[in-house]
Amino acid sequence: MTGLLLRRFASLFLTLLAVSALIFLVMDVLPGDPAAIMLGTSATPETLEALRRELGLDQPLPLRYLSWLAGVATGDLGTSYTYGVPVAGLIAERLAVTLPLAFIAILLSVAIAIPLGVASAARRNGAVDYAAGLLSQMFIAVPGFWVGLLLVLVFSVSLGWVPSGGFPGWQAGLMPALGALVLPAVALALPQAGVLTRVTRSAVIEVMNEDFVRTARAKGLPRHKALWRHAVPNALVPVVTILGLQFTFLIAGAVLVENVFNLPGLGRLALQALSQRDIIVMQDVVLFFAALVIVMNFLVDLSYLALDPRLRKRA
Amino acid sequence: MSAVIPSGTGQIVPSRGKLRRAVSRGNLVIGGLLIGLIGAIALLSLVWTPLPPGKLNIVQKLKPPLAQGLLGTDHLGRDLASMLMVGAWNSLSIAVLAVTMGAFAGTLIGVTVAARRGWFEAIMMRANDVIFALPPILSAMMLGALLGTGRRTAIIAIAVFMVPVFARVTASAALQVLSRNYVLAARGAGKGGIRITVDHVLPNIANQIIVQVTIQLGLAILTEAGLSFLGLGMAPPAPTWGRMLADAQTYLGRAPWLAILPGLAIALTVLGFNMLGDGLRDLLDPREKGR
Amino acid sequence: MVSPLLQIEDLAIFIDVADGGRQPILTDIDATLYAGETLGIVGESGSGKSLLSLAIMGLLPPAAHATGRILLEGRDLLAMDENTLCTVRGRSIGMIFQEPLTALNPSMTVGDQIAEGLVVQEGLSWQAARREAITLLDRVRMPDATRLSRTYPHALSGGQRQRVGIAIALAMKPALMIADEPTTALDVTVQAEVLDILDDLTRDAGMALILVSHDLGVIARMCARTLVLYAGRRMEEGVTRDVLTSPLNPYTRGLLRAVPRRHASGARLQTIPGAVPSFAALPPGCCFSDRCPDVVTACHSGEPAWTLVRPGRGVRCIRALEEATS
Repeated sequence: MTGLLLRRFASLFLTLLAVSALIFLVMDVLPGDPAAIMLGTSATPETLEALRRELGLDQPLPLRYLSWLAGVATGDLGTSYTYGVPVAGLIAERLAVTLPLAFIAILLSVAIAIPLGVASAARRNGAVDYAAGLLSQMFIAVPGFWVGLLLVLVFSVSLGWVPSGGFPGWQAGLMPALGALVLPAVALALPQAGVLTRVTRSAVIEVMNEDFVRTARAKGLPRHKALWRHAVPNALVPVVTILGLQFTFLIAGAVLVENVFNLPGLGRLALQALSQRDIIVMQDVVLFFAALVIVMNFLVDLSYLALDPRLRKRA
Repeated sequence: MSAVIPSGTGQIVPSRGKLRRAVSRGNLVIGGLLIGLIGAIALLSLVWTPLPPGKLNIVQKLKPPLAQGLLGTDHLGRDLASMLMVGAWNSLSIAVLAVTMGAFAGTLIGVTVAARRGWFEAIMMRANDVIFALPPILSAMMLGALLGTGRRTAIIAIAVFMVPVFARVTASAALQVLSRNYVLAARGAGKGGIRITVDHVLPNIANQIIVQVTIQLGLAILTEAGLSFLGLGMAPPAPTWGRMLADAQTYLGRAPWLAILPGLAIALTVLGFNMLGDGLRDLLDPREKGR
Repeated sequence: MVSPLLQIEDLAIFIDVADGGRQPILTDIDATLYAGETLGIVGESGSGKSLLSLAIMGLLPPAAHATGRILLEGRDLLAMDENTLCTVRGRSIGMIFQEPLTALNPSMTVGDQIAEGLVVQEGLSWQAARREAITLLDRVRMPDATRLSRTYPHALSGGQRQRVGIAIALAMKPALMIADEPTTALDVTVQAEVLDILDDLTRDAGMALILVSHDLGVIARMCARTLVLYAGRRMEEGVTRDVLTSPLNPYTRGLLRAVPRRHASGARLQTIPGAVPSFAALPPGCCFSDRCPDVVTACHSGEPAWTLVRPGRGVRCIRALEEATS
């Protein structure tokens, strides 16, 4: 068990290192001088030189990478060029929006997908199955940010129930803050729910044919109990796997949805940094997002140990 | 002590739902029709649109469908139908280019991984993990900061993300083919790795690649729409479905059709590719049938 | 006279086939079992014997349909609604399956799998049911029952898993136990012990046992009466010793010749030529006529009727009747 954990952990670390190197290479080696990009056309040679020195661009490449890494490891992500504040603080502030948003969206998508997928597996080729199939096919096809637009159109423009966007901040109280996240979370969750429904359905169908479900029925368990107590728990591994793989699309979706609802999250921060040519902020935010995806997949790997006792033994 | 009894059994094939087969064929037909129609519109836009898509007509701005032109006008009085047509071409051409590039590179890596294994496989699979952690929107932002945003950046960002997808699919499919007896026989007969890949592996995994290309085209359309929604796609004034949605945000109350129609175009195109992909999978890849 | 525990009358099972038709798998099955009796059902794979046990449990796959009557203590299981059937399964009929590994839930401790029926059906608390599960594991001679009740199936050996399977089936003390090839998947060395446990426990509890097997040795050891199936039809029935020592049906004789014997060293093991025909391609007349060593022209003219030679001794073979009457 510890052996498996160590291997997974080493793999997590290696992937993170490789991602950071890739991001650094792309941002630093591709044609374009960050200092020149940041200052734009107004730069004089003197200010350019000063900024280059300030950013440490006059140092050799490996050294610059190492000092960035060392900074990241100690929580010093550098200073934002436009805001003049530490990037770590900026990210922490925006994370308070993006993380709850992603979390609510995952909960919602699971809450939609598991019952829908299990119901269509239980009544395979029945009316529920085809309705759920159609619904998930639609969920997958519609862009999340468009769903967001439609939700704004219906719930704030037409019905006037909620503001069309913005975020009051957590200091405004739990309910107003959560309220501002509900519609964005729905927009983010639907495409995920579509994918998860399909995976849940096929995983449960596969497990339902297993002998142990029949054993459970032979004990006198009613169909729905055998389904939920025996088939579903054993179908969770593929579902959780897809949940992990989908996380990268969830992040991408969050950037878009934050934009639709005008939420001050990490995605908006990255976009603002892009338009203000704040290279350091971009570099750090991209790394942070990538790290989130990688850590999430690591957690998925760990969850297998909880879901499948056989792995605990083998590990 | 145990009786040796020859085993033999009646060949009973429980019937699969007729409905399921009908749905599978329906996927193929509806998906094919949708994509055929949208593709035809995209091609038509190259030679004809009702009005020039960039033609401004401020006097007639924000007219609802049928009041001015077939589908109305946007905030600058441009003809929505013409913009949607050109948008179809822009979306489809970016998606097709990106997926083709990604599929080509990914397949190359996938079959090489299957043929060589060892350290090459380890490095490539790690590289896949790295790329997979960077969704196209993030890489488009990074590339956009350096190369400037636009069509080229969008294509590269999407194509790069497609590489690991295709590398994984082809590697596992190719490994299966490579373990078959006739491939082992061919290898025993002295055929080299490249000959085996070209003669045996590629023809046998072509179906799976085709299915994957179809499904990934849907994802690429979604991604392109997202990129141009954020202003990371094709530069204005070229009309794209994503930017039309971004522009529509301001006029949500006055001109809801501006927000509905481009989104519908995206959804129908993605739906078309996904249905076509599901139908093709049932047709070409019987293992996955009924899933 | 005591009424029978289980009475199967004119049971037939059909399966939906691809072209929309129905293929009969089991036909004309009759059987009677009194409390505490043991009945062995023997047949080759494909003879439909597994479907028969699933039909009694009411757990036929969706594509299979049963006609006729299966009376348990006078109540027809085939006419019963699903909710009532759930109370019969486990409580009145227990079942032991062939593959002890796949028949157990890999992500639930074996103790909980035994306790579950007691909780769901008998309303025990989980705590009490788990204690009962440990007692049951003790009774199936599981060493270190308390500790093993908290392990998962993958940690157990094949023989231990099948003991868990027996404990699950025993938990609610059903009046009837059905064991479908309970030892087929096990090593020869543990087969005997598992059969011992099954024999002791059903005997102690006065349970009736239906043992389904392709193995005449197992049947001979466990069952007072034997029913021989071929291609979904009863071929011969009687007290086990009679069936094995003076078989009336050529098919039974073929089965017996195919049993390896310790004494007959040097002699070649005989087999029945050919294989069980597909249900869609049975020969005309007697279903065994294409493989039967004693076949005569009359065998092809029609399916022989089930005939009782004397009470409790039946056979389906026109030649057996010639012998019996001549």
